[in-house]
Amino acid sequence: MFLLPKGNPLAENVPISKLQLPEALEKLKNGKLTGCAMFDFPAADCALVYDEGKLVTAIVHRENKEIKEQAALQALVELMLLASSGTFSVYALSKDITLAVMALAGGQATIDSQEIKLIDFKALLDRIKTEQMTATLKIYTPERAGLIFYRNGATVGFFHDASNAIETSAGEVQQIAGLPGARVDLRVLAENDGFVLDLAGLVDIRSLWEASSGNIFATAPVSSTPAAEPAAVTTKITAADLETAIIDLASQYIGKLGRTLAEKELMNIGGASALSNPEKLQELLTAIEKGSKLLASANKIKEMKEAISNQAAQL
Amino acid sequence: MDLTGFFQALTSIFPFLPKIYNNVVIDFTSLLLVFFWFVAAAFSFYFSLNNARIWTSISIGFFLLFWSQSYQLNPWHETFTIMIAIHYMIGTIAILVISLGIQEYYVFTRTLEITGSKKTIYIGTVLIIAFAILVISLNPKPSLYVLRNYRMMNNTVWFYLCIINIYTIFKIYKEMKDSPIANGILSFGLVFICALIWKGAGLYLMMYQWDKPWLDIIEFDGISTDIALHQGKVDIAKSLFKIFNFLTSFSVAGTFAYLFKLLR
Repeated sequence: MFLLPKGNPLAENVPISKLQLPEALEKLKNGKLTGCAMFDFPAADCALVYDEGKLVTAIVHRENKEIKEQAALQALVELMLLASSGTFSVYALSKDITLAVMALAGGQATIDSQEIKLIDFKALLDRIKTEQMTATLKIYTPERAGLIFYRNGATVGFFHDASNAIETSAGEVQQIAGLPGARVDLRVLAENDGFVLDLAGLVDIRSLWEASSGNIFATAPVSSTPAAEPAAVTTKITAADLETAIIDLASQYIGKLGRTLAEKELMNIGGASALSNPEKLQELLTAIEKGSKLLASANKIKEMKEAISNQAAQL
Repeated sequence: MDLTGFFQALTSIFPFLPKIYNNVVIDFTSLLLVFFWFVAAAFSFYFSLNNARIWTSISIGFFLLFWSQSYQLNPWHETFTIMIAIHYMIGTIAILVISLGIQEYYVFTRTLEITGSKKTIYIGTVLIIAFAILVISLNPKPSLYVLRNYRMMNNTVWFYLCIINIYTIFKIYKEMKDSPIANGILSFGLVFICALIWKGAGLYLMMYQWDKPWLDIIEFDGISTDIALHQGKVDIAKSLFKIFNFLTSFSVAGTFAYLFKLLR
């Protein structure tokens, strides 16, 4: 079972048919996401792990096989264009959990599919602690799965297939470990796996997307739409997308109140479509900054304003 | 710390100041306490300059608190009874203004609206203090009994507003718990819990007439006291008063330093 944790939802179950992959990834980058973007296709799953907007790990899980990094991005483009359905979700996670997820998605398999009964589980937990591992321990049966996240040997959270968010107690995961036939995987982040490589910088997703979407497998609406229409549709979608992106950015930097604040201030200026006017953009930024001063640091507000300005520039 | 020489020199420069007859010894703890209040006042003043208007009320409150606490360090503070009464009033106005700021913060988390202006808060506070000074000046020179009543009023107002502030801070935290400075706001809750115990212990001692001002009064009036029958309770209340006085000022300074880090 391919299981990744859900954190603070920034987008959830968005149909992939509505998604332009390069734009979506650009948003995650500009929004300085720390967390996970997940693609759920009928026959495959994909996860992109981000650290402050940097794409640090990509993995595609298809037919019990794992495709990683650049190859995973290539596979994702193909899946996006060929799959008839699927959903896209983005979750913001804490830095600690993100590191552990990075271990889960791309780390070294120190223990691979071992039956729990056959190993000294207590000794394994001690080893994680003493060796100060940044890792994810996956405990699973064919029906259920649970994850335990570690940062430098310390437990930083729990997640299981019925969770909606990172949990702070082991209860449910412990129960999964007690099920007959439960197995365990331990994926460890090597010390030199720091967040240095930006996969998005290694693979030009936009050209990959454009090249692939031009072939015969491209989805019907893209190829059958009259030439004049896409421009108009794109502008409308972009304005709506911009509004969503600004709200998501405010939520990511400021929290729940940031979301409400952005919604309110966007409404005050007459919606995201007004942001093509630089004065309106400035008005929005000033208004959001004023309220944010009671909720976040000056640096965070500055970063958020820059991210919003970058998004608005794309309108 | 013996400051007798310093204050004697001061009286020779400013002859209108009353002469210093007793040694002026200020203990290190009192100095440290006032320093903590100063740290809180300085940080909150900084927030008020550079941040949203709501900090203005909280900042003025902590500044007034620092003012009223530091006043007690001067060796003449018992010479002018009107000034003692005024400073008790300033201490009381301080918590009123801080509480107003906290209420405004809560309204902001619910409506995301910031109304009013800094000028209104400054002028309003000055007017309230001026009114308090006027009332005290128009009335007879406060006796020891009256001064004790002012102090009791100060403890009572603090006690009940601390309870309201703890509740409001908890509600603010619930609204903004995923915001970057949520833990800083929660730290304010801790400050008010300490202040509640500090002022509560002071109020308790005054209610049962086991406080030092009352014992000083009856020393010359020949009124009897039952303090000896309740020495255990009195000792506990006095310890709580001292410990939480220190913890309140320490936690205030710590909270503002933490908020400074979070807001930078």
